[in-house]
Amino acid sequence: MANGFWNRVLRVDLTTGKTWEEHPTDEFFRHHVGGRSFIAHYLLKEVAGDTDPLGPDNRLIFMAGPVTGTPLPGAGRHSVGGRSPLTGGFGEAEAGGFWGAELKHAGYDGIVIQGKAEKPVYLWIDETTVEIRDAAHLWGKKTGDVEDAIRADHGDRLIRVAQTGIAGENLVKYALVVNDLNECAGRTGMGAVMGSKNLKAIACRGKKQVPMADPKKIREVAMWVRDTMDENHYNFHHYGTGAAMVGKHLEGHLPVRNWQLGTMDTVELIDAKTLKAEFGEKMDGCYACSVRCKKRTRVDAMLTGGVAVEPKYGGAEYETLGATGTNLGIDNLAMLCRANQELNWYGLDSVSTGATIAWAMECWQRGILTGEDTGGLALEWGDGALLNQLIEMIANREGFGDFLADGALAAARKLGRDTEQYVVHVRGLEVAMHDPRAMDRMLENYPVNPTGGDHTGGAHHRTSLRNTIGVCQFLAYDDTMTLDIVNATTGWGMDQEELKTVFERGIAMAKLFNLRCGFTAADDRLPARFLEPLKTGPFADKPLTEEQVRKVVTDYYAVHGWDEQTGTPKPETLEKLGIAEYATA
Amino acid sequence: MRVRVIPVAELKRQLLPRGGSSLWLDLPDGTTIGDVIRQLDVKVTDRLIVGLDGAYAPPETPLHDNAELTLVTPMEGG
Repeated sequence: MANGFWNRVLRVDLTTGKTWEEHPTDEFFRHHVGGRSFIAHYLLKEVAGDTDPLGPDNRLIFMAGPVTGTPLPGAGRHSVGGRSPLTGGFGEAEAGGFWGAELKHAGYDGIVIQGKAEKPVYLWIDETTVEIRDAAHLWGKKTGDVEDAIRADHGDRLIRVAQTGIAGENLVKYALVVNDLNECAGRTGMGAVMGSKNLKAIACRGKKQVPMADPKKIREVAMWVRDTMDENHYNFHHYGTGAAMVGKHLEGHLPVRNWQLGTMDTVELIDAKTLKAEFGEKMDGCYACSVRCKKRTRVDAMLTGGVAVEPKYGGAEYETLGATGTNLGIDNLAMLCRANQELNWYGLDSVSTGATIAWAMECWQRGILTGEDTGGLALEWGDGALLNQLIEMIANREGFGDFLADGALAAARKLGRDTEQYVVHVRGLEVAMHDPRAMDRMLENYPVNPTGGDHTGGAHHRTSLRNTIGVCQFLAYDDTMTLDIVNATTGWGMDQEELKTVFERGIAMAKLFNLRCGFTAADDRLPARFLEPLKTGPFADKPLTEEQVRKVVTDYYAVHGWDEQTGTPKPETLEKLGIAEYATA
Repeated sequence: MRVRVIPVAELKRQLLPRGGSSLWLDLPDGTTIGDVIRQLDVKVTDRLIVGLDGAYAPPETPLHDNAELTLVTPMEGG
């Protein structure tokens, strides 16, 4: 058995109620390592290109990495994947918290779920037991009530729960999988896949220590993080994400009003500094992490239209403050805190939810959508009460909420009226809150990212590798430290070249799955909005051009050994990476 | 002239180690944003973003009495 792994993947068939284990070899683990590459392996081996993402033949895959569950800051990460119901392609999202570490402590590296249960169930896993249990009492409940009920079922407050919310039960295509009530595998609709299988939750409990080759080295790195907190993680430690939103405003690339504007004068009313000062209860952390970048907020119901905001649902991250705040023109922080809680109650991805509403608001602004279309709702920018009403309507697929529940692109195609031009997406996934017109890193990421418009999806070495090994993007580990961490955990003695190959393997396999699902090089592009200039701020005269984007894409293909016209990984590339078998699988 | 400097997040730690939200500087007429940055000896690992009275301003911009300078480093995380 390798260090960092148990060589145990749990298989679950919800149609038959059967569970079993697979025991991949040490060589297999070293080849694929974790997260993305494992997810792509199961999808390429077991999911056809015409598989219904919300049908029983899709797979829902939870994978940790070798580092997940070790006592290292940032080691609370796991990935969730499957064919995305939102995009139709490779679906993957990552989350922190405690659940992934708990899965490892229960003795599993991952879970692959297929089929569909006849009635709602949840999965219970500990060191000696795997059970598919009745979840009738959990269905239709908000996430906090579900977690409480499962812990009560087992009489253990330390059980960790990953679950789909009411949005996932209703197959909202951007429903997410939330663990620990506020840690979200947010993008690409994996909560809807979970709901489609009648799987409400996966509850884990375990105390097994992840085997490590060099625990002393892992402890040293943990001490380095603690002892250099102010130099390396000051903002995260004190504010979490979103402390410097005013910087985006000043530079002119804050997402505002569906990316039409780049500035918002009132941004400091809703940034993380103000959030901490006005409603901050405390900062909290994920498993083993001294950075503790997670906000806990409390807001009186008097400020939110009658709903108290509880600390257990966390606090808004930058993506949420951007997607449901600035990009909707909303600067009412209390209402944004309520929205953050509602999103976590119902299990909705804040980026896709906000972006889909932003598309609708722009259509309203232009007079394309009217009260006749919206059931009388006036979709005005800046309306925090409307935001919260729409979140509830989307999650429950009520009225106009049902119209928005399949994502912005689907809504535009249903509506017609030439509104697809206002959908800000890549391959159907609404773009995260970083503007590629101003950020070269995002220009180089979004068009080629395997999941679409995701800023952490990992088209490039650092982000992809972090997701694969199970380490948080926010930790200031450089490439050398990352390699040291992998080797201290596994004992593999990898060099940078081998680690780079792991990344190359992962993106090539994800690309193969996207090609299988019918995507072509024509889909590797940016939406029309980014080819227009911003209307305010320093980037007002700097739109991107199609030629710039195409060059980014073809350069990426060339660097990674993919055909420069089609984007298909070349046979020699697949051969070199040891994944030729997947091209024909 | 007097100018108010508002450092954000990690720059607050550097420029206001004893707390507070801003510092006031007495400066001669003709002082530019760049002069103030050099005077404060601001240290950043990435780039420094400077706002003058709430809008982006380049280093060569001259300051005026009661100007508000916001100093911030780029966003981290998402």
